[in-house]
Amino acid sequence: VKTVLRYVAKRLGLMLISLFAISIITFTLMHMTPGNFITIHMGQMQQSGVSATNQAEVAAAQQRLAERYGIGQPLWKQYLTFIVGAVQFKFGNSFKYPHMTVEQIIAQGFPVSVTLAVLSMAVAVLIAVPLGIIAAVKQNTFWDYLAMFLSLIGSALPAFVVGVFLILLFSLKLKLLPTAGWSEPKHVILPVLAMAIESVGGIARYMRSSLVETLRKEYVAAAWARGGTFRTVVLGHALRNSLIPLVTVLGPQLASMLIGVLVIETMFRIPGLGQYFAYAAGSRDYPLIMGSTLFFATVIMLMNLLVDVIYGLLDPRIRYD
Amino acid sequence: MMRAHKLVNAALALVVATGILAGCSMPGQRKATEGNTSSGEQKQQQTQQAGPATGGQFRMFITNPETMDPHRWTWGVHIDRMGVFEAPYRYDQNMNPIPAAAEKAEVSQDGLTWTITFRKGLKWSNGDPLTAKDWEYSMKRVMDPKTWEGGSSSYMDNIGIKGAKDFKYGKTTDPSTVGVVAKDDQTLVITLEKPNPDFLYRLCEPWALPVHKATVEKFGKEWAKPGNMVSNGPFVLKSWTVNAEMILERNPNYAGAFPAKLDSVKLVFSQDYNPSTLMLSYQNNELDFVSLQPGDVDRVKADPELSKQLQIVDTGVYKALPLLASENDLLLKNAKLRQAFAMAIDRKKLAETVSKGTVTPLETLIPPTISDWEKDLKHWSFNPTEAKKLLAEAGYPDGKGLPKLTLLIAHGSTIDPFILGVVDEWKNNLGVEVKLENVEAGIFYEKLGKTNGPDYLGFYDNAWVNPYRSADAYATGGLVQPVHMLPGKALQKYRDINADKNKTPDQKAAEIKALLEQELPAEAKEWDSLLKQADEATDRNKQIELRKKAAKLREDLMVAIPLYTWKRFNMVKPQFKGVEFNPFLNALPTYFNTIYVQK
Repeated sequence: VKTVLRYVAKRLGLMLISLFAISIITFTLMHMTPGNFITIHMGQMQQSGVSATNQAEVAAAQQRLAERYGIGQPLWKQYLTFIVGAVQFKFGNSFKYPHMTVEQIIAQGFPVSVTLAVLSMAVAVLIAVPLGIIAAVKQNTFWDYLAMFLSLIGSALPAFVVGVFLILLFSLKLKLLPTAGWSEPKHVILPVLAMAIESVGGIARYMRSSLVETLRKEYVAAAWARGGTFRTVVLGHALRNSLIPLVTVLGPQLASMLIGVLVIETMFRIPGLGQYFAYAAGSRDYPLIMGSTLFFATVIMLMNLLVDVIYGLLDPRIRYD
Repeated sequence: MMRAHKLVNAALALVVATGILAGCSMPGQRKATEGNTSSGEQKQQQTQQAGPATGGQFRMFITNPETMDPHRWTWGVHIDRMGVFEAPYRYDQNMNPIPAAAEKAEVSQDGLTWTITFRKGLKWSNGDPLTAKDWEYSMKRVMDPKTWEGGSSSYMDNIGIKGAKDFKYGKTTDPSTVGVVAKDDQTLVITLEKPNPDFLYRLCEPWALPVHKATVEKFGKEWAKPGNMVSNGPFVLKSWTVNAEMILERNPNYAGAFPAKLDSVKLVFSQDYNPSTLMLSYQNNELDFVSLQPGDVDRVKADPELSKQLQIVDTGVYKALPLLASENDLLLKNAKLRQAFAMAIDRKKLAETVSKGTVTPLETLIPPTISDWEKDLKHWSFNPTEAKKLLAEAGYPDGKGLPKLTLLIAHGSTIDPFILGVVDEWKNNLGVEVKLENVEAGIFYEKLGKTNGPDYLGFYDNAWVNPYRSADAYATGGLVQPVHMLPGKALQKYRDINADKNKTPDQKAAEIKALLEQELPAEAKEWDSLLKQADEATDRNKQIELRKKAAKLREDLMVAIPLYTWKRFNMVKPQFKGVEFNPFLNALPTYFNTIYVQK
C-alpha cells in the first residue's frame, strides 16, 4: 500500500508539471491565434444596424470591452492573473456568458458529458465483450470473421455518421425515438448508441486477442483436460484473466469518449461541457478555453493514473516504480 | 466550423434583420411617423390581432440566449420581444409600427419631444400595476453602463435620446440628465437630440422593453431567471435549462391588447447557430417551425406533402463585397476598376443556377424590397462589354498589369456557391483571376480591422442588415462609411488614433478632423458632408432629399459591390396559423402571440 501511495504521489506531482506546461502551451496558442473576443463581437455587431456607424464610437466601445476583459494587457500579466486564479480553481467569468463563471459552466455541463460518456462506454463494453469472446472461441471461423467485420465497420464509421443514420432509422422511419434534446430518458438512447458503436471495434478486437492468448495458456489446456465446460473454462478461468489487459484500453477509451462527446452533443443538442468546449475557441472566450482545456486535461490524466493503479492491483507482477 | 450562412447567422445572433414577406409585396412605403397615427387603423389592427385562445404549444429552435435581460444584447432580447415583454409599440404584419402597450405617441412640432400615452390598467405578470414610471426606470437602466458592462447595451446610440450617450459612456453618472421623464402614471415624455423619423420603429425594439424595478433590485443578476422573472408580455418565462430548452407560458395577468392564443411556446437551443439536424426534428414532429438549410430546399420542394408547408421569405439581409483595407490604394483610387468588377457579375444567372433560387439578385446598396429610393440609384446590372471597357479605361485592358487580387471570405467548410460563381464570372468576363481566401471568423474580423500590407488587396464578403425596414437606415448605414475611403495608411492611422489610450476624446477628435481634412478624397468628403447635413436637417423633406443624394453618391462611388439579398425557406406545421415572419431577424416569427392553432 505504501508503494502505491508513493507512486500516486509521484504521478500527481508529474501531473501538476504537465498541467502547468499545458496551460502555457494553450495560453500561447490562444493568443497567437488572430482575432479576439472583442474583434469578433464588434465585427458581428457591425454587420447589423445595431452598432453605431460612427467609427470613433465603435472604437470607444471596443476599448471599453478591452479594459473590462483585460485584453491588451501584457501577456505575462494576463497569464499571471489566470494562473493565480487557476490554482484556486477560479477561472473567472466567461466572456461569452458573462453571467456565469467558468466553474459554473463546468459544474453544469460536465455531469451531462460524463453521463453520456460512461453510458456509451458501458454499452460499448456490453456489445464488444461478447463479440470478442465469440471471435476468440470460434477463432478463424465464419463467426470470428463476422464478429470482427462488424466491429471493424463500427470503428470505421465516425459517431456523427452513425448518429445521422440512427436518427433516420429510429426517428424518421420507425418513429420510436426523438432526434435531439436532453430532457427525458429516451433522449439518451441515440447519442449513446452512436458513441458506443464507434468504440465497439477497438474493445472487441482487444478482447479477442487477449482471450486468444489466454486460451493458449497451459492452465487453460489443463482445465479443458480436467473435463471443464465452456462455462467453467472460458467464462470462469480464461475470461477473468483476459479482462485485465482490457482495463488498460478502457481508461483511454473513456477519455477519448469524453473528448468525443463534443461532436455528439452538438449533433443531438445536448447541453454538455463538450459543446461549450467546442465553441469557446470560435468565440475566443479565453477564460472558458483555458478552464475547459485544463479541466479536460486533468480528468484524462487522473483517469490514466487510475487505470495504472487498478492494473497494478489486478496484476501483482506490475511494479510501481 | 462556420459556414457562409453561419457567419452571418452568428452576426445576426447579436443583431436584427430586414426585408419583407415574399408574396405580400408592398413597396417600402412607411406611414408618416410624425406622430399622426390614425386611430381607426389601430382599432382594426387590434381586432385582427386579438382573438380567442386556442391552446397548443409551438416549438422551435432559436439561437442560444446568454441571458434573458432585455437590456443586454444577446439572443435573449429577441425572445423577450417576441413574447415575454411588450414594448410601447410593435410591428404589424407589414412591419410597420403600431401602438402596443402605448395607446399613442405624439411628437412636437420640432420633432424633438415625444409624448407616449400608455394604455390604462396595464399589469406586470405578478399583478403589480405597470406605469410610465416603470418605463422611465427601464429606459435609464438600459443606458446604465452597469447594466451592459462587458457586452453591448440593447440601446443603440442612433436612437438619439438627449443625454443618453453621456450617461451610457460614463461622462455623467446622473440618470436625471437623460431625456426620459414620466409625467404621470400614463404619460412618458422622451426628448431627442435631433428629430428621428424612425423613432416609432425604435419603440418596438428590445431597449424599450420595461423591467420590473423591485425584481431587478431584489435578485440582481439572477432576476431574469425562471421563478424570479417578472415581465409584461403575453407570455412568461416558465422554465429554462441553459443551453437546452426554454418553456414560455401564457401570462394569466396580461392586461394589454395582444394576448397569447397559444398555451405555451417551447424553444430549443444549441451552441451551433444553425444545426443541420433541425429539419429531421421537424419531420419527426419535434419542432413546429424550422428554417431550411439551402441543401434541403430542393428535397422539400419535390416532396408533395412538405412543399405545402414551405413559405419563402425575402429578408432585408444583403450581401456585398467591400474593399479590403490595404497599403496599396489601387482599387480605392480607381472607381472605374471597382465598377468593372461590379458589372462583370451575372447575378441573375448565379441566383438561378448555382444558388438555386435561394437568393434574390441585388444591384444597388438599397434593396428594392426596402424602399423605392433604389430607383434613383445607378444599378450595377450585368454588362460584360461595359465592364471590359471600364477595365481598359482604368488602365488594365483584359486585366493585364493588375496585381494579384484576393477575395476574403469566412465560409468554413461550405463555401457559398454564389461567391464561387462571382470568382468565375470575373475570370470569364474580365479575364481577371481573383484568389479566393477562406479563413476562420476570428481571422476574418482581424483582417477587416486593420490595413493590410501592399501585396494584399481586393474585396471581402460580408452581409449587412438593419433592425427594421427603413430607407433612411439603408441609405446611411451599411458596411462602408465615408471614413473607409481613406487611403490604407491613413485609415490605419485613423484607427490608431481612436484606439490610443493616452489621448483624450477631444485630442482624438481634433487629430481625426485634421486627418480627414488632409487625406479623405474629395468625393468621400462630399458623401460625409451630405450625411451630416441630413442628420442635422430639421425639415423632413429636406432630410430625405439629402439622404437620397448621399445614397446616390455612394452608389456611384461603388464602395461595395452589391450581390444579393437572402431568402429564407421556412417550414411551419399546417395546424399553426398566424405565424408572421420578421424579415429583419432571420425571418423568424415576429411575435408568438399572433400564432394560433387551427384544429
